Amino acid sequence: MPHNAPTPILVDALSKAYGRGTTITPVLRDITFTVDRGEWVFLVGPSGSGKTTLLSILGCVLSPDQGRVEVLGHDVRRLDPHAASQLRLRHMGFIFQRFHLIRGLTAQENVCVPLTLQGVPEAAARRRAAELLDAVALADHRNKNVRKLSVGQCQRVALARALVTNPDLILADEPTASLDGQHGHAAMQLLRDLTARTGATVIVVTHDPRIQSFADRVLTLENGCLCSGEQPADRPDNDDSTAADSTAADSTLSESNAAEPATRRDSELQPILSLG
Amino acid sequence: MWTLALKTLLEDRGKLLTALVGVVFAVVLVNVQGGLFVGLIRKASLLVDNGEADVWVGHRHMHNVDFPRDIPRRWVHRVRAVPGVAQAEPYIIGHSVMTLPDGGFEPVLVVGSDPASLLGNAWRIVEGRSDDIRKPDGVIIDVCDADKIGHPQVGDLREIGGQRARIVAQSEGILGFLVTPYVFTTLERAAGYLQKPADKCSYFVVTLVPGANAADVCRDIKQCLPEVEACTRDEYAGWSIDYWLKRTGLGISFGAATLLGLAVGLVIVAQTLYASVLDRITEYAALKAIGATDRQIFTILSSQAVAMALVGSLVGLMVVFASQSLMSNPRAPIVVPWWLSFGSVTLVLIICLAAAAAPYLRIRRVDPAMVLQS
Ligand SMILES: Nc1ncnc2c1ncn2[C@@H]1O[C@H](COP(=O)(O)OP(=O)(O)OP(=O)(O)O)[C@@H](O)[C@H]1O
Ligand SMILES: [Mg+2]
Repeated sequence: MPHNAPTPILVDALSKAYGRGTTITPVLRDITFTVDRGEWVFLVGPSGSGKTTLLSILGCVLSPDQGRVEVLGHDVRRLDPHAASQLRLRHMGFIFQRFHLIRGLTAQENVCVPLTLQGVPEAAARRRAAELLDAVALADHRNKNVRKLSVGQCQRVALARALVTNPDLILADEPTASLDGQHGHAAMQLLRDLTARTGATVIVVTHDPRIQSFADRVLTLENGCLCSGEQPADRPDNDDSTAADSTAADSTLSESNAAEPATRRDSELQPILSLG
Repeated sequence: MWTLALKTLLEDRGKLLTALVGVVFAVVLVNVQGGLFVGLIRKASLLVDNGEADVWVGHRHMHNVDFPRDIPRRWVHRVRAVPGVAQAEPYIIGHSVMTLPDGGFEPVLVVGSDPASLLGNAWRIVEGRSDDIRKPDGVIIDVCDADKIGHPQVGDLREIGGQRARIVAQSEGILGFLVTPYVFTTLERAAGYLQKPADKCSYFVVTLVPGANAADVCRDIKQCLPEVEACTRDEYAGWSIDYWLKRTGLGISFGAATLLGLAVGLVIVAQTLYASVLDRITEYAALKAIGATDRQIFTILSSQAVAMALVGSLVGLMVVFASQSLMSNPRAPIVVPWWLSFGSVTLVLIICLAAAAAPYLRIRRVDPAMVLQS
């Protein structure tokens, strides 16, 4: 990635409402923030506060009503649907709450999907997918129909699928909601390991306080507004303030994450890095 | 993309089977209906298709091989003089009545050919020989008509047009479009059965020298004999078929039944594709969220449609050929020409692609944002 890469996310005075006529419900109001390259930003807030809506706008699947939103240097309001889908395909990775893997395909074929859509030749796509499945410790389940995988395994397949194109931006909506605490934590750890070298920017919508220790910054949405405490201006550089609302156990986890020796990541990343 | 399309198709096995049944149904219906139709209508040109004549010469307004009008026999010499003609013989076709031993009677179609060349005589002989018509009173009838004329054996006697006829040989499968049995005999005997003046005949059947162009010969014959019509074998077969097609509207009724079959097939395929897409709508939405373009989605759906069409057609054609060999008989022949099979498969392919249109439009409307919201 070039050094003069644009700020991955730049949101300025964004507003969004659903419905039309008399039934307009404002969902997002005057949201402003930026996200730096490689930053992990978590969106939290009560149900219905507009987290998914915001994530959808960042993912260029929904367009804002007002305000400026730039994603990876593109003004999302100027993107036509085709350009938006190409941007998603080439530069973004999605992790959905329900994974949305394609039934009937094997784990490997599922991971291949974004590459296939990019037009990568089948053999190369399969090789790359195999490497990622190795990295998420699913090498043995590569040729299993995803119907036959456990939830945790499916999540790892989804992770591999989101990462297979080496995206610059990863958008995850409740990625751990279908997993228990332990698996949720492991999945986030895996995501962190896998993105460590690519330097991808990660936005995670979550309700799950146990994984908030992974965040560089937590943005709290309430009633469609960003709570002032988490405005970009006073972004905490240390994890402590964001981890304050998570449990004690989690904060110790977060510290251990932060202190995780780079050697382990490297060993897990070996297959991916070999791609160059 | 193919892997994705085909594997997801295979995954929904129940739906796939339903759709295949639809395709098979359509293919079988078109081919069997069409085959029966072709088999039936080809009977109208049976004598033309199976006689060895390259060119048929007859009355200026001839339009159906089974309903000729007399022409003078002596004109045959002028036909023989036309360059390119190898052989030209008078030929008689006419309606008479056969009297049966039990006192009953049966209208018959008498066919008289030149006894020397036997041009236009019966073929596919199963008992006796075709040249047995040269024997006294000799006639050839078809075993498939045996029940209509009292199950005669070779050697049995009948009476046609008040004259004696002896069965000398039997063919199998010469059944005309009319249900009237054909009786093959010599030119002179036919004239006798039909009480036709000895200087008249129905046609001149003409064979050509190798390399001669049939259309050119026809033109030359008409030039030197303006009172006659001369046409190639294929032309006259076509006219005879047209005669029945236009007058009976057979094509319409068969065609309507076939179209109905296609429509049912279309509905089944469309409905199945649509249902399986609805079933996977969030997966398609996820694909769109990941970045699949509408064109790629269409590729997936059309691959599935084409796969179903091809597999279904293959199975369908196997069923068609199986039923053809089991059920086809001279009375109701199922004739499936290559163009019918080819056409039906093409049609089914188009139908399947059309059936993919509805689910495609449905997915186009899908908002990829829905995968995030669910
Ligand atoms: N397509 C839509 N049409 C109308 N209203 C919608 C639509 N999608 C969401 N909303 C409304 O917008 C508000 C915000 O929805 P959103 O899904 O962004 O919230 P959320 O923070 O992700 O909630 P949750 O935590 O439950 O997932 C909700 O009140 C919701 O009912
Ligand atoms: Mg949500």
